[in-house]
Amino acid sequence: MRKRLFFIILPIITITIVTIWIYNLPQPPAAQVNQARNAIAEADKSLSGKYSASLYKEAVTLYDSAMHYWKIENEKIFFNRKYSHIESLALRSEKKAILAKERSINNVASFQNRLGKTIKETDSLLKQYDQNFNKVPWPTALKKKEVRARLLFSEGKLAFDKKDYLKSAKCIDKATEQIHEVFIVAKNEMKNYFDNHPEWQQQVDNAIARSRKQNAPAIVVDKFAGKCYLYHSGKLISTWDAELGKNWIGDKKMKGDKATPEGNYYVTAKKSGRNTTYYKALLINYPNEEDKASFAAAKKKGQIPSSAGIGNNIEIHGGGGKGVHWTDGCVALSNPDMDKIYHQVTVGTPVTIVGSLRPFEEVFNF
Amino acid sequence: MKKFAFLGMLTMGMVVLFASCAKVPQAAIDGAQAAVDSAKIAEAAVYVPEQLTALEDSMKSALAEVETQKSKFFANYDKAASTLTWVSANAGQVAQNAVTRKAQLKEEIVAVIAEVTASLAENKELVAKAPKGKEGKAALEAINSELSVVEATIAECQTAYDNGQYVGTIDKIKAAKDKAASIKEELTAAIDKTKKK
Repeated sequence: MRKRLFFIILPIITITIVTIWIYNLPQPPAAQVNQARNAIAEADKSLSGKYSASLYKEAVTLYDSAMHYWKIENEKIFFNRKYSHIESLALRSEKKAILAKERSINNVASFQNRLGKTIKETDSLLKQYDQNFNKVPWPTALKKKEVRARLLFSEGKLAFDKKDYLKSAKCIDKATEQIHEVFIVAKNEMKNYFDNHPEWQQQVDNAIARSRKQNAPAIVVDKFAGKCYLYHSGKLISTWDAELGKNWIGDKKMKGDKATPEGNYYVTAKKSGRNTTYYKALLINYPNEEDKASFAAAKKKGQIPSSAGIGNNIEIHGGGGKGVHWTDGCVALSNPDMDKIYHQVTVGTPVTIVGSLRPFEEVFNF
Repeated sequence: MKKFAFLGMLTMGMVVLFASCAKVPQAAIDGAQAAVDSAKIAEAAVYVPEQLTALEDSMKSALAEVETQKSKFFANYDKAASTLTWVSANAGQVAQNAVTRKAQLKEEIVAVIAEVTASLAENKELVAKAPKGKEGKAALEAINSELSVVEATIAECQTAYDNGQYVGTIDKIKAAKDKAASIKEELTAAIDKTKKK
């Protein structure tokens, strides 16, 4: 009887022990691994792979390691499996993924703010550039640099609209840097040019004073404003639009440089009919003595080729009114304006050509 | 009785043994992984990144489920197999979507390059048609330097296209297109001015 009871109880005890043992075996880390994977998926949605790449990579590597070790543990006999280090890896992966998501969201917001601000500033800079320098005949290299920078800037703005902030940043930052460089070169060139303003002002003041004193006409040309003024007895009586040589910034240095000379001249001849190509013309005494001296000095210094000529036949003539600077160095007025000036001046009327009547600070709006 | 107890324990051992030996769906895993790899080869990461990410997430989920079941006494791979079947079926679609998107992008780039090239030719024609006098020439010289930059950009985009760089090229050529259009406006205005008397 005792023996029989033993054989009934034995399996029950064995099953109970095995059940308790199995129940107490370490549980697989499924929950923690799933949490890590979900966190990585969330990080993915927030574009962490792009905007928080290193943290995201760490999270993925930790997850892959967890899966790798889980696989190894599962190869072992069931009672010998240990999952604690896998849980630890999965937990670390989850934390990194959460951090990657947060950082990515922050980085995207930061890119949006920074690039949005830079785009606005650069747009404003380009607007300033256009307002101030658009008509200035810049050297081809500078013009090309400006156009390239504008293209890059447009490309960056397209990428920004597509929310591709990394590409946008690359384009916008480089374009902005180049636009700043072009702007600074342009501004410095103008500043250097306008250093002559006190002298220009003096020349114009003298011309007006002489006109007043001699009760005679005087012509003043403001190159930057593109204006031709006629004074009589010291009083301004007419203002006309004037078009200049296409390289109108700076003084004329030699023949063929397409620059309009600057300085004090006078009308040497009045031409009309067959004597002039452009309707009517007032020939001036370019080159004067000062021009000849500057030309000789520049040649001596090697600033112009030794074979260069100084040029001549600078006139105030008709044929203007095109809205662009196009002459070889002359001052062009529209034919009706030419008629007016032609009848009000005589041979000997002083002609003062200056870069600008207004100083740098007044001309440019920065 | 002794025999009865022995048989009982043996039966229980057999049940445990067979239950824990349900087969891992290795063929399904390999098939799904190969399908995901095919989608990657089709450059899904470049052209349909969100779709590839979803696919990879499902693959990871299936693999985790496989390991979960492997860790259990009574493994059941039905859920994992079902996810793997979904991955295999959808990976083909993702690969196809990537191919389609790439083809669309290529077509778009070719079209925009053709458009900008035509616009450039048109602009050059306008330059050629401009008044021959020095005034026309002067006004158009600045525009010519702008046109040369656009021309260089077209060449750069064509090279990028030939080298299979499509994603970055589209914005670049679109920017050149906008510039060519603005040059045309500028050019027309300049010609009108030179024509004005």
